[in-house]
Amino acid sequence: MDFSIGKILKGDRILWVVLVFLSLISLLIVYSATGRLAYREAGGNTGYYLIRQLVFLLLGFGVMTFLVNVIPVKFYTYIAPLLLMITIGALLAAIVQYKLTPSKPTPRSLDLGFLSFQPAELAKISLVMFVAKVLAKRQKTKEDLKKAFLWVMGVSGVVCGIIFYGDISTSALIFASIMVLMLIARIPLKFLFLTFATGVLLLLLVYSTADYLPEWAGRVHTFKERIDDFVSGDDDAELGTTQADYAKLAIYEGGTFGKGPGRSEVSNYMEAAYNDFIYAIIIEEYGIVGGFFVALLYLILLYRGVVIVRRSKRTYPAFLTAGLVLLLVFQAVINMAVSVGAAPVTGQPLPWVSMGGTSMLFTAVSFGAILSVSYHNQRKNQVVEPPVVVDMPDEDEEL
Amino acid sequence: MEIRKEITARFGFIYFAAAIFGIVIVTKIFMIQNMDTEKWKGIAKDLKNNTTEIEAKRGNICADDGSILATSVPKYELRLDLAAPRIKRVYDEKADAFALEVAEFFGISKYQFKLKLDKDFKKGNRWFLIYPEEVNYNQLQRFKRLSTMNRGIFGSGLIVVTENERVMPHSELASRTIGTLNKGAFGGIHGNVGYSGIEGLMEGYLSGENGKAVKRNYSGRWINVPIIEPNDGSDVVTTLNVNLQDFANDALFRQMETSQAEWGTAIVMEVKTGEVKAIANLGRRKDGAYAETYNFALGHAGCSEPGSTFKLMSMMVAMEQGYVDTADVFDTGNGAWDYRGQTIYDSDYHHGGHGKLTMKEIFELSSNVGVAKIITKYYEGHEEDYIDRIYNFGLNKPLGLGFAGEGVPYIKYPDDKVWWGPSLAWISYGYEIKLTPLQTATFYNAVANDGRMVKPKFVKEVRRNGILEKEFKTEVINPSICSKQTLKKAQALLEGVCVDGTGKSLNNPYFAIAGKTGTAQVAYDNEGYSKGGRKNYQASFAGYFPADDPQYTCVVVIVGPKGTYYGSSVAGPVFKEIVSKVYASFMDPREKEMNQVAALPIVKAGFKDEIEITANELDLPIEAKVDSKLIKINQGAEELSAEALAVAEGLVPDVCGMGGSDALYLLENAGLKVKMKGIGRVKKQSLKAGNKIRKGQTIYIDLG
Repeated sequence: MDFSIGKILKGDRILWVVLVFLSLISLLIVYSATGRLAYREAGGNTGYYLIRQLVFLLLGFGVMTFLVNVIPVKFYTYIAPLLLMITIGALLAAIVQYKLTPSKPTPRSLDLGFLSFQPAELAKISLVMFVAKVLAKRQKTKEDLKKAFLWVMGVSGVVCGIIFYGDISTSALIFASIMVLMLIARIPLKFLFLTFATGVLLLLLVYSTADYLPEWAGRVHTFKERIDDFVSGDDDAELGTTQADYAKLAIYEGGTFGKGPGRSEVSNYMEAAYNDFIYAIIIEEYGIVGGFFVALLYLILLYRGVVIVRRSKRTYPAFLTAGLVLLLVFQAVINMAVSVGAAPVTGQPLPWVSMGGTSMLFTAVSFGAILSVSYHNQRKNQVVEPPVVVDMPDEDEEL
Repeated sequence: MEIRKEITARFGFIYFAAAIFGIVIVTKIFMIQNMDTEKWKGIAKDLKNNTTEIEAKRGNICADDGSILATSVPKYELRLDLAAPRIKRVYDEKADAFALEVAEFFGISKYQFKLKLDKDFKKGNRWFLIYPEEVNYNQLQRFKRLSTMNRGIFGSGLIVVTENERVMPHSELASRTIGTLNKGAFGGIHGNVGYSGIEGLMEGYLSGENGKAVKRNYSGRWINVPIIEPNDGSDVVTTLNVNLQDFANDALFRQMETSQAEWGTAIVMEVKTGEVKAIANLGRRKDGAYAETYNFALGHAGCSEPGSTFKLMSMMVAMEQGYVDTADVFDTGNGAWDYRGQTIYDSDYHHGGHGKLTMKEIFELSSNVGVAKIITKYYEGHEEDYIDRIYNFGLNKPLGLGFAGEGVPYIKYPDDKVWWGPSLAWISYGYEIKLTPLQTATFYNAVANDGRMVKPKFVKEVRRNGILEKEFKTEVINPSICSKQTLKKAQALLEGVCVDGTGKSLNNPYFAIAGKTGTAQVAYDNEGYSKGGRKNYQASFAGYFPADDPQYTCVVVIVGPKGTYYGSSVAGPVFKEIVSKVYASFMDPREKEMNQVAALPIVKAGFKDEIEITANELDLPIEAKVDSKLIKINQGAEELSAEALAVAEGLVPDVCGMGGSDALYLLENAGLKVKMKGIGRVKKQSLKAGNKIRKGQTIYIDLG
C-alpha cells in the first residue's frame, strides 16, 4: 500500500487545493475575529478558538480522506432512505426537546448528552442523497420525470417544513438547492415555475400575517423583522449602529488590500463576526482583493462540480455531486450577500471558513462524497478494475 | 449521451448565474468602499466615542479585624426611552397594561403613573424615570420579566442605570472618620468619589479603575459589552476597632444626653503604634438628636482652646529647662492673682484658695494661678524661649494626616501683633491658643510612649481579595520630645492627678490611670467668652493607661455641657467607662487564656472566587469543585469541603456562618436593609431564613 499524500488525498486535485486555501483563511480569520469571544468565554485565552477550529478542520480532513478511500459512491444510494428517516426523527426530536426544556434557547440543535448537533446539517446531506436517488432512477420518460418531481416535492416538503419551524433561512436554502437540482436533473420547467410561484406566495403570506400570528410562531416574527429591516432600514439604527452597518463599515475600512492579518477592529463591535459576518471581516483584513479571492474559491468549487458531473458515467453520482455542491455554494453566496448588504440578515455560515463545531464535520461529509465521485470518475477513465467490496446492483441510469 | 449533455448544459447555466452573482457581490463591495462613504466615516468616528464607563466596584473600608465599615452595593435606576420606535408603534395598545404592571410592581397609583407616562410620551422623553427610587438586583430581574417589558414592547426602551450605593453596616459608628463620597465627574445620586475622611484619604486605592464598554446591538437588543474590564478598588483596612469604637461611642453618647452638650469627641489611640482604635464624634443634628455630624476630633471646627490639659506642656517646658522641679513651692494665695491688669482665678477661688503648694500639687489640683506664676516667673522677658519649646513639641503645625478639612493649630509668638500683656500667663494654662483634640492626644501619647511622638495612624494596610498590597508603618514625628528625667516627672505628675488630684474619681483597684483634667471657658462662635452672661465651658480629659505599662491613650472633649462643667465630672466618666471596658475586653489577663488554636481555620461561607484565592494563599485544602457563585464550607475534622449555596429569590437568605461583607451583599441584594452588630461571622439573624421578604424590611444581624 502506498500512503503518500497523492495516494491518500484521492479525487479532484483542484478541489483539495481549494479546501486547503479555505482552511488557511478560516484559521487566520477565526483567530482574529474571536478576540472578544475569547475574553468572554475562554478567560482571555485567545488561542482557544484557534486550536478548536484547527482540530475541527483536521477532523474534517480525516473524514474526507476516510470517505474517499473507503466508501464506494454506490453506498450512499443504499443508506439514503435510512439516513432520511434518521434525519426526520432527529429534527422532530430537537423540537420536542425544545418544547420540554425551557432552558433550551432554540429548536435548531439536538442535544444527545455526549454531543449536540444541528439536525438541519444532517438534513442537507441526507435529503440531497435521497433526492439524487429519486431523480437518478427516473430519467427515461416524461412520465418518469413527473413521478420523480412529485416524490422530491413530497419528501423535501416534509423535511423543509420541519426545519422551517426553527430556521426559516436554512429551510429556504435547502429547498432552493433542491429546486435547482431538479432543474439540472431535467425536470420540466413548468413544474418548477409553478413550485417557485407557490413558494413565493407562501412566503408573502407568512410575511403579511406575521403580525397576527401568536407568540409561539417565534421565528416568523424574526423573519418579518429582518425583511423589514432590510427593506426600510433597522428601526433600532436610530439608537446606534446595527450589525449589518458594522459589516459594511468593516468592508469600507478594508479598502483594496485590507488592514492585514489580525488587524480587524470592527469585529470587536460585532456579535457574530466569526460566523454570519465573517466575509466582512475577511474584507476588512485582506481588502477587496481578499474578498474577490474567497468568492473565486467558491466559484472554482462550483466549476469543479460542473466538471465532475460532466465526467460522471452514471446519473446518481452526477446528481449527488450537483446537489451537494449547490448547497455549499448557495450557502456561501448567502453569507457573502448578507455581509455586503445584498440580502436580509440570516445566520448562514461561510462553509469551511466560519467558526464551527460539529457542523464542520457535516460539511466534511459533503466534500468527502463529492471527492469520492471525482475519484470514482478518474478510476473509470483509467479503466482500473475497482476493488469492489460488495457487489451492489445499480439503481440509476448510465450516462 | 443526451441526458449527460442536457445535465451539463443546465449545470453550466447555473454556474454562469452564480458567477454573475459573484460579480454582483464584488461590485457591491466596490460600491460600499467608494460610494456614500461619509456614513461609514461617521460611524467609525462614533465607534471611538460610543463607549461608556463601567464603574469599578469601590473597595471596602474595614475595621482592624477585617469587618466591614463601608462597602458598595449596586442599585439600579429604571428609565425608559419613550421615543423608542417599538414603543411608539404599540403605545396606544399597550400603555394601559404597562401602567397597570408598573403600578402593581411598585405599589403606586396606576392613574397617577399613566398620567405622567402619557405626558412624557407626548413630549418624547428619552430619559423617563419609571420610579424615583432605585431597585436592587433581584427587583431589577423581576421587573425585566414583566410581560410588557418584552423587548418588542416597552422593554425595547428600558434603560438601566447602575449605581453603587455606599453602605455603612455599622451605621453611625465612626462615620465621619470613614468619610463621605462626592459626585465627581460621573457621579450620580450617591456620588462615587471619596471626599472626606478615609474615603477621601484613600481614594487612590479605593476607587479602582473604571472599565470601558461599547454599545452593541445583539439580535435586536442593545447591550453594553465590556472591552476593558473594570479594575475593582482595593480594600482599606483601618486601625479602627469595632468594639472599642462601640464603647467610645456609647459612653460619649450617654454623657452627651446627660449633659445636653453641644458637641463631644472621644479618641482612643494605641500607645506604641499610634493606631487610632476609636474616634467618636457627636454633634447635634438639626432635629436635636446627637449624631456624627462633624469630625470634631481632627477638623477645624474642633480646633479650640485646650485649657488645663495644656498645663502638662507648660510644666514639661519649665522642667526641661531646669527652672522648676516637682517639689518646688509656689504661693497660689487665695486663688486669685492680678497679672498685668487681668485677674487669673483658680476654679475653687470661692472656697478661699490653697495658699502654698508644691508644683506637683499645683498640677494635681490644676491651679491656674500656680501654673501662671511658674511660667511668668521664669519666662517673662524672654517669652520666645517658652514658645520656641512649645513649637519644638510640634504643636504649632497640623499633624498632616491628609484628611480634608484637618484643623490647623494656632499658637501665637511674642512678636505677633495679637500678643498682648498677659498672653504668656493665659497661654501657660491653655488659653489664647488652639489645638485639635487629636493633637492633644498625640502629645499625651508621646508622654505615654517614653517620649517617642508618633503620628496618629488611621490606615493599617491595603488589601486586594484578602491579599496584602501595601502596609503602612507607624510614622515617628519626634523620637524624643524631652529628656528621660523630665519624662519620668511628667508621667509621675499625670499619675498623681488620678490618685490625689482632680482625677481622683477615676481611681480603680485593677489598673492605674495617668491623665489630666481640663475645664476651659470657651468662646461661642465669634461671640466672646460669654453670651448673655452665660458662660460656655469645655470639659476634657486626656490620659493613658495602665500608668505603669501604657497601652492606650484616650482623650475626651465635651463642649457646652449644661449644669456641671468640670473636666473631672463631665469628660472623666466617659474616659473611665471607655478604659474600663477596654481593660475588661482586651487586657484582662483572665481573657487571654480562653483563646485556643484550632487545627483548621474556620472558613466562612461566601463567594467562591474569593474563598479560593484566600485558600490558595494559605495552602488550605479546599475542594471547591462546585459550580456556584456562593459556597458554603463544611467543616470536617481534617478537611474542608465546599457545597453550593442556594439563594431563593424573594426569601430571606440564610447568612449564618458567613462573613459580614458577604452577608451584607447578599441581604442588600435581596432587598433588605441591614443593621449589623459586632465583628466576625454571622451568629444570629433577626429574620428567619426562608421567610418571605417584605419591601424595605430591616434585618439585624449579630456577628461574633
